[in-house]
Amino acid sequence: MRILFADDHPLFREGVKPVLQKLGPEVEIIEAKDYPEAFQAAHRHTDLDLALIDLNMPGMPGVEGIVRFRAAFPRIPVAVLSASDERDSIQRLLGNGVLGYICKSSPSDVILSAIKLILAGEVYIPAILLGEQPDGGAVCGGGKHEPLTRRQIEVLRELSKGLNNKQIAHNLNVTEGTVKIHLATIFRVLNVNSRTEALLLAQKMGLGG
Amino acid sequence: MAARPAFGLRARILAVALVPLCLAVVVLATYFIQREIGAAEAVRLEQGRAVAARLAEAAAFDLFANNDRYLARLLEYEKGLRDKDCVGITGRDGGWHLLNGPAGLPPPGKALTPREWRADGKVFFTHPVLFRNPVVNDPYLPAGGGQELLGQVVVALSLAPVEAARQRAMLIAGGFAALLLLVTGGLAWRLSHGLSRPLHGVIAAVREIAGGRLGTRVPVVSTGEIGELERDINGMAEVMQRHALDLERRVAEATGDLRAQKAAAEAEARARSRFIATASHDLRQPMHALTLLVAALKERLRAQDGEPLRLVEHVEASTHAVQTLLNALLDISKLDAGAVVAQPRCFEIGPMFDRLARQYGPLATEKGLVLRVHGGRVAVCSDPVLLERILGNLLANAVRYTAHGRVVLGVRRVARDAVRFEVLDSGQGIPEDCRERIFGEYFQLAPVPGHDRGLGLGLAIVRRLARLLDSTVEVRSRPGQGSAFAIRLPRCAPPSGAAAEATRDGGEGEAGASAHKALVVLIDDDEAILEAMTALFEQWGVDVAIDVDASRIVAELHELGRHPDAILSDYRLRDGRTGIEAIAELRAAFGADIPAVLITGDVAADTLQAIAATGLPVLQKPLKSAALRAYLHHMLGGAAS
Repeated sequence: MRILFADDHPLFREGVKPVLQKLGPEVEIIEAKDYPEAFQAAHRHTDLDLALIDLNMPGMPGVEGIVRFRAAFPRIPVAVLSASDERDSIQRLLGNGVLGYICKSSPSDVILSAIKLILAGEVYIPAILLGEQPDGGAVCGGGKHEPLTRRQIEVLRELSKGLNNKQIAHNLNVTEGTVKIHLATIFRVLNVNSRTEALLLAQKMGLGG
Repeated sequence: MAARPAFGLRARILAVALVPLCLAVVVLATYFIQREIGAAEAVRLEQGRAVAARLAEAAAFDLFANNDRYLARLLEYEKGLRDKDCVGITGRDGGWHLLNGPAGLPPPGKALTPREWRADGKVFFTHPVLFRNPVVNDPYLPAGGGQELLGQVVVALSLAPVEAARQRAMLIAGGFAALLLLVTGGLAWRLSHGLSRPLHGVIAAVREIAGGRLGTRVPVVSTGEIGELERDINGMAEVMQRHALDLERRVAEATGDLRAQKAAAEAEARARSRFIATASHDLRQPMHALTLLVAALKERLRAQDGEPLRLVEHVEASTHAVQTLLNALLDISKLDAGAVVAQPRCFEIGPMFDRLARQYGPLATEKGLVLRVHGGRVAVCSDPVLLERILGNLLANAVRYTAHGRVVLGVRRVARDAVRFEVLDSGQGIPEDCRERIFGEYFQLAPVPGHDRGLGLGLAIVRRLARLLDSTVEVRSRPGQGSAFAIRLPRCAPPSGAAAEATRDGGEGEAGASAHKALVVLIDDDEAILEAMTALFEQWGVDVAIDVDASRIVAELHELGRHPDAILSDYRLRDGRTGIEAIAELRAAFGADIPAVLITGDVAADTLQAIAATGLPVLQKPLKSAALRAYLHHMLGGAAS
């Protein structure tokens, strides 16, 4: 795994490196101390798994630099490290596809889990700043088992009405293939093997009717 | 005060000049006319008396002798001589002996003395006609020396000439008086005009000056007091103008000073803000690094339990304390520098209360306290971040100063449009005389023994934050029993149920919202991959249409009336078809400008060449969630995060 870590503060880079090392045995950390170096590194390594960028590096106003980086390297997931809770910039960062906003004051375990969350395709925002995100917190809380998404629950609800895939697809405004995939996931998550089993479970869960 | 109209002055001058003159003229004219007429009348009367007397003398003998012819001639003569109206003589019997005048005139009767009276605009004079017996020394004759009344002479004189004279005199006097008044009036008018004209100038100038045009001057044209007035007014205007200029200059100076001071203060504030920004960056960075490095060190040493680990734990505790203090100091500085601005909006407090409970519950439990949080469906109009910091600080304080019992966070409606947040504790309480001072910097009550001291900045920060939210923190306390901190904030209508739910559940809204959701078409021949990706996309709030075959998706989307916003296709599809063909088919059906990307794990040169020839972007397998999300965001142009 390759992570680009751009921060103008060498001490802080040293502090974060052990945290990043915990992501896995073969984590390679590419350091950059400013935007030019970050851009060069991203050019050199096209297969970066994550770019962790300090919001306030010299040479470019924080958000502006991030926006340019995103535009230049759309395939690279970007997480922002911020020394201050400048919540004004969060909206703009998220609007530009930044996947995380990590406060530098966070303890190392929080930083670590935030990066893990981001690598899993989620968006990380500190809880106190959640309200600043346009659509609220996207972090899904873990349950007893892997939770069904809202769409999957809708599919299950339609299923429990006794509808076939085509009808469900029509009702939910999606394609039949999508319904099929949803059902496959649902079967797996609920650990059932047939529509009937799923239907019974749905009724037990109170989704029927 | 309104200036008197000019004619007021003039009228008064005219009145002063003319009224005494009129009086004098009238009195004098009357006096002189009366005197003149009186004299004329006296002459007339004297004349009448004289005529009557003379006539009586002259007529005595003829009347005695009954020489009527001579008498008549006498009367005729007398009447013709002067303008007498009539003359007449009565006889011894009292009746008319001769009358040369109007026939109806009554005889005057007998009288031994002359009389006179007025009637019909005439003056009648009578005089007795007496016959004096001669004194003869003749014993045979009756004793002489007596006199005998023979009759009366009556003369009537007309007063018309007197009247005419009176009228003439009055006419002359009137004319003269009128002339006099005219001349005097004219003179007085000119005089008053001469007086009021400079006054007009003075009045106009004073009005100008009063109107603020201090450069106005009165032309000094008059002499005497008015001239003096004109000069004085000019002098006054001069002084006022000087004062005004002086004042203006001083105001300008003061304003300049103020402006300079303000600029200096602003510069200072900016410098301070810059300093704080720098300090916050420069101080916090090494602190953050220190924290992380200490954590790493601790991790290393954890294996070998011993002295080094304990030392590192002490370092960690110190680091934490310094970081907390630093944060509080920087917070205070930022608040004081005005660098924090409240961003109020309407939000439900539920999630915030949950977070606070999660954050402070363990702290309370650790101390053997119970933390209760009473929320409810309440929405307030405030800055959620600042409010959460206020409540967090209050909770931290409550936990710190409470040895046993409970800490309660609650909210309740106190008015139609206001709610009150309260943090209650069963702690040591705050003495009456400290209730204001606890909000000052570095003021601390003695903490509960055996527990960490705070910084003495928590409430100072709380008060500043509350001020930013346009509110104040109220405190009630009973020493030994507990304290209550409260802050009152405006209430608002909670966001409607569906919207609120959508907000909480990350935007995966109801059917209504799906119309706004981006639709991504995903084509892959591997059902397992499709399944994984679908779950991922659903999680991200994106609709997906998936299939192993492009034609089926085109047909279904047509049926649904939906239009894809992005196309992802695996390069190798079933039946030897490629993603290039699938993308082309979808673009042909829905639009050539739909962003599309090929996914491939192929490294064969010919495949890569074929892809490169199309110009389509490529995502390399194995596909990683974060990279996919980053690129998806790019394809959707910020429509979904």
